[in-house]
Amino acid sequence: MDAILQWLNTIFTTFGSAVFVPVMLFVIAIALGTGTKKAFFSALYAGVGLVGFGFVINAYIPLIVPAVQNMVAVTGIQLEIVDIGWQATAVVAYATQAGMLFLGVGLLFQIVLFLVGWTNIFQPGDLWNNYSYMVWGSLIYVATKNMWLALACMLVLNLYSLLFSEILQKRWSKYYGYENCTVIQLHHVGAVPFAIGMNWIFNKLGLSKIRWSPAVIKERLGFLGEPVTLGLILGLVIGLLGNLDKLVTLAAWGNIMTIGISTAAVMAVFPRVAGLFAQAFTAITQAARERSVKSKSGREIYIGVNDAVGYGEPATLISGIILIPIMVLVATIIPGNKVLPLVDLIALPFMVTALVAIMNGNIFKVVVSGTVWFSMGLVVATRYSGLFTSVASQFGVELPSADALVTSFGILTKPIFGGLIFPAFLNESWLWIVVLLVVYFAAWFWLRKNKQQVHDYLERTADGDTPAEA
Amino acid sequence: MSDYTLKILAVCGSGVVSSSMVVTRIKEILADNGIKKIQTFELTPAMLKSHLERDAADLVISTTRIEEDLGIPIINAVALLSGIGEDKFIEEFVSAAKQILKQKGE
Repeated sequence: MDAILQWLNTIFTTFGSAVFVPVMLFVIAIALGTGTKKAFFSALYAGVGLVGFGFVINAYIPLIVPAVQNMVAVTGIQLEIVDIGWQATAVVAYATQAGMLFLGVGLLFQIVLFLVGWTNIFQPGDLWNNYSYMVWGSLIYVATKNMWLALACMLVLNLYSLLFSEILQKRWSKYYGYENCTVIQLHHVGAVPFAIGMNWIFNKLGLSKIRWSPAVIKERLGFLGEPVTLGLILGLVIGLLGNLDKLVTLAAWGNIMTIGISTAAVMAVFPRVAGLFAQAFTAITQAARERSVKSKSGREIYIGVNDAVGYGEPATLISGIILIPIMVLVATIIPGNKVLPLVDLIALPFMVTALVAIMNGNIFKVVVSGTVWFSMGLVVATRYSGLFTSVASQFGVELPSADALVTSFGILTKPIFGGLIFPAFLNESWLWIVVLLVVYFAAWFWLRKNKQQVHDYLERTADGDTPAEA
Repeated sequence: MSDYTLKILAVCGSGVVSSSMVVTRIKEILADNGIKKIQTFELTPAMLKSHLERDAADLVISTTRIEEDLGIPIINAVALLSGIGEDKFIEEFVSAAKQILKQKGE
């Protein structure tokens, strides 16, 4: 196996990810029986997405990173780590060796766990979001050069996300109204234990009575949800802060305006590139689902669906939008945070989906708990920004200076997965890893016995201490 | 069939990932039903209204909830992601597309 990894590595460095990823996808697609034509286009779109991403990110980074560095120098606001967004993170993750390995092994692992009944969630329904595991795995690989450790970390993270998702599944399905569907993404379900705990506290304090009306807020803050508007505003603010000391010069205003327009452009263009890349997964996802799900009828199953499904629901959208300005302000005052939330701010309405389901769309609860949760996450993202930057710079992101730091606000801000599980593998702490596994298996057995009660509890407490009898 | 090009807006939260997956599928579905002249745009819910003011469309398919009344049919396409109720979606979608083409052909 080590020899194979070594050999793969040589091939990999010779051809690069824009060739290697498409070939891998082609092989997987053929193996799943999509047919040659669909397999070919899947592969081609993946290559196009990878190369296209390089064009965009490498035009934007030389502009935004110095702008943020100026802002830090002029204002003293210590937020030097630039959030380059989940799209960039996804494309980087798929391009790494750990990502390439997980593309095949992860898919197989998830299908087997489903078929043998270890989980009732068919995770490959949302294959694309597997990049979240790949990110953490590739950080391990860069730090330790140990692919086994990276793989073990990705699989343990996967097991824990399935566990959390099984707790959430019924509530999510019911709240969003999609029968037998759930979210499964590592970057969302990590919040499940926290959301349950916070909701318990909120209910004890009687805060369920606070009801914010979505319509009014949407009218006032809706413009923040439009990517180009948000991009323009953020870019102008960063540009302005970076040029505070020379506002009398024409050059300063040129710079401010350019940063504003470019940030708006990135918000609009990045998703296009990610969309090309995502198309590569359509045929594979469908083929995997058709092959696996049909053969298993008779038990209650949930299909993992893309997180975008929850996005347009009013409480989700509004809570996310309210959190945009809050997280920018909070980022400046949290001790230990150096991340400047930027490109991923627009993704906040995705990031609250688990909180929203567990708190039954109570915007007040979601905003308060979201602020706490993402604040803790910012500290985690700050801690691993150095590692993430070295992964990103090895796989397609060209940095303008040696001291530049990047991260993804949406993907790296994970207090449980990134703060508690990932470090066990990063530090190669065997004791810690054993504890994680013991806790996992204990929780798995416990949930297997008590799943109905857990689901009932979430239904009962979702809307406050008044039992919702239906 | 008429010469009319069917304009379809595909909507999802990010305006990209699941909408482009859905677009790939609906192109196949329409082609299977003999409808080849289509144009698609991928959007976020926030971009919908302003897009429609600039450029009319015939049909919206969405993987997320859309609250506004847009004056054109909106079909939820989550079934294409989950596989649950997929046949029903295809039936509804194809008949809506055919109906629009019939009206435009007259």
